[in-house]
Amino acid sequence: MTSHSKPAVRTDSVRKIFKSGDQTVAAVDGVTLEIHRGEFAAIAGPSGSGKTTLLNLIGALDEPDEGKVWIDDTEITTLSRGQRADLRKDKIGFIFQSYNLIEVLSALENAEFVLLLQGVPPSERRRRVTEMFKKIGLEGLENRRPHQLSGGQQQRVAIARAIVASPSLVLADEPTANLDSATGAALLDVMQELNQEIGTTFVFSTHDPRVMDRASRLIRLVDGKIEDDH
Amino acid sequence: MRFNVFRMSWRNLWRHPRRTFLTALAFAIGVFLLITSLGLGDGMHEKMIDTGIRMGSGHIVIEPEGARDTIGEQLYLSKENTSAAEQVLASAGIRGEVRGSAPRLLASGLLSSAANSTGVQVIGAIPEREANIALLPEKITKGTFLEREGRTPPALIGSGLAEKLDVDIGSKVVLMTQAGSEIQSQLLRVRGIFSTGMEQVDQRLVSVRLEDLQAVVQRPGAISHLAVFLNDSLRTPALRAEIDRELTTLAEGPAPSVLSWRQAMPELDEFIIIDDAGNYLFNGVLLFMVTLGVLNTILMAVLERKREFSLLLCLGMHPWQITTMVIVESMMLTALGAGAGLAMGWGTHAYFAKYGLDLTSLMDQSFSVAGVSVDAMVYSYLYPGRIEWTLSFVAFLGFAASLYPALRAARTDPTEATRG
Repeated sequence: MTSHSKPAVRTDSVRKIFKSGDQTVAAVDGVTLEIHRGEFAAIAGPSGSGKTTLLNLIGALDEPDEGKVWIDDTEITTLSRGQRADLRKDKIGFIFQSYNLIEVLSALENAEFVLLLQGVPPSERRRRVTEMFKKIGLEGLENRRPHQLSGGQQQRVAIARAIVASPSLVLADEPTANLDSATGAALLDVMQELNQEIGTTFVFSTHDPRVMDRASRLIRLVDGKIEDDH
Repeated sequence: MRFNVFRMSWRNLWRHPRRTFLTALAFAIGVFLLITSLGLGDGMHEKMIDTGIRMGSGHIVIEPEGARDTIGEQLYLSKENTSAAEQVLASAGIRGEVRGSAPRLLASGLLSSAANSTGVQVIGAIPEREANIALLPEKITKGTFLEREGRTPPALIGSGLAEKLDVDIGSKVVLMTQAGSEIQSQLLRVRGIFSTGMEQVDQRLVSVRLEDLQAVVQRPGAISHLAVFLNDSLRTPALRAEIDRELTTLAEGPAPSVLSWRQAMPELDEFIIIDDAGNYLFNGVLLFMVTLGVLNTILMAVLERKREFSLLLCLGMHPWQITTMVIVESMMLTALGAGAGLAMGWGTHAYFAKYGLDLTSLMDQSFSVAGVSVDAMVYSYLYPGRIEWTLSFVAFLGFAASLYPALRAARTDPTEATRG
């Protein structure tokens, strides 16, 4: 962890309100935090504490009702939809709880998808994805479609997709929730390795104590507010 | 767009092969029905035009100016203008496009036999110039086409007329007609009987040799019009204009009128326009229904794929790229359906073009519309550009059907993908 480096993510009094009938609920309620480059940070908390909403706001998937969010030096709350799409493509990698691979593409094509959007030439794409597959133990599975892979393998492909474009930030929403403990642990090993080797910033949400133990920083959310950050 | 939208769209199509097949089939049936109905419609119109032209005054008619505005008075083309018209038709630019031309003299009169008498329309024609272009020689059921035998002038009469006058081949009939202020009569011998299927024609038309009729009406060398038959009916407007231009410079006195068949047979023209409009409306409704079905399928597919679109947005795809992807999928689906429909439609068109569609079980052997006989055997024919028009129209519908679902897909909430 490089706590004195420039922040990769910064939020300032971020608030997100959801309305349900006459009731309004602040899913994220005035969160201010800084996550520095190279951190392996976990956002923890019970269900409904606002973990996913906070990740969505950091990932430029959603807009806060109040407050500001920066990725590197870019204030994302002022960006248009298209600019936010570009920012996600160029700076953020996503890992989802339910893998979210594209059914019609092979493992290799899924992994190179972001590179494809970035316009990286085919030979370079292949080289980077093949290297990544070797690193995370997916060699030989390149041509399989998602339904031909196990849950753990699918999540590895999702990690490869998130990492291979060298984003400055990877956001992972409960990445091990659908995996058995052994597979989950192996996957965390991979993520931790990449964090240490490449220096990619990881921010993930979790309520699994085994995952929290791996984090270099733990941010606890309760009712949308930071209760603890250490 | 730097990623291969076509490959991804193509694969997306085959995620649900049955749905893709059924949706493409809807388009295929639409295109098939459209091509088949256009082919039969065009075929019937072409046949009607051909019949009208060959029974009437050709693709283009050259006649005295004001001939259609006078009632009771017969106008004739002067010898000079007839020869100017023949000269124009023989000119280098026009000759190759003309299948033939036939000078004709028209008169009305009374035809009598020993048994009966009736009013008739008489056409004086040159048999050699009518052969291969006019329809009457082909409709002869008995005898010959104005072949001269003996001294009595030959006559070709309709079957209804023969029945009415109770005459047959070899019978004598007398034609009485007006020649200036006098009434002239001429003995004729029936040498041929025709049957067109058009009651009006079969009961009222008599054809005699041009020189015989000119002698009866005491107008040597006079003709009422020159009927011009072209190799390609679609060239009619251009050639009419060209002949008109050339003739205006060559004519002596008032230039003759040069009319296209549309101007000469306005009822037929109007019938075809109205019938075409009806066909377009029917086909439009049919394709509109198909499009609604396709729109519904695409929309359902898009709604089912909200999570996927959301994922693509998360990964950095632009909303417009998603719009493009859905439109490309829809256009591929349209192309598949249109291709299959084109193959089916073309096959049916080729079959009916060769063997015809026999409608005799639904109607008489032939019937008359706008004064023209229509055969109950319809042969498919497609005017040039029909296929291109059909495919463009279907492509437009495919695009239109995809637009709303595509825009809807682009508006997907990207947080959808993060919901467990």
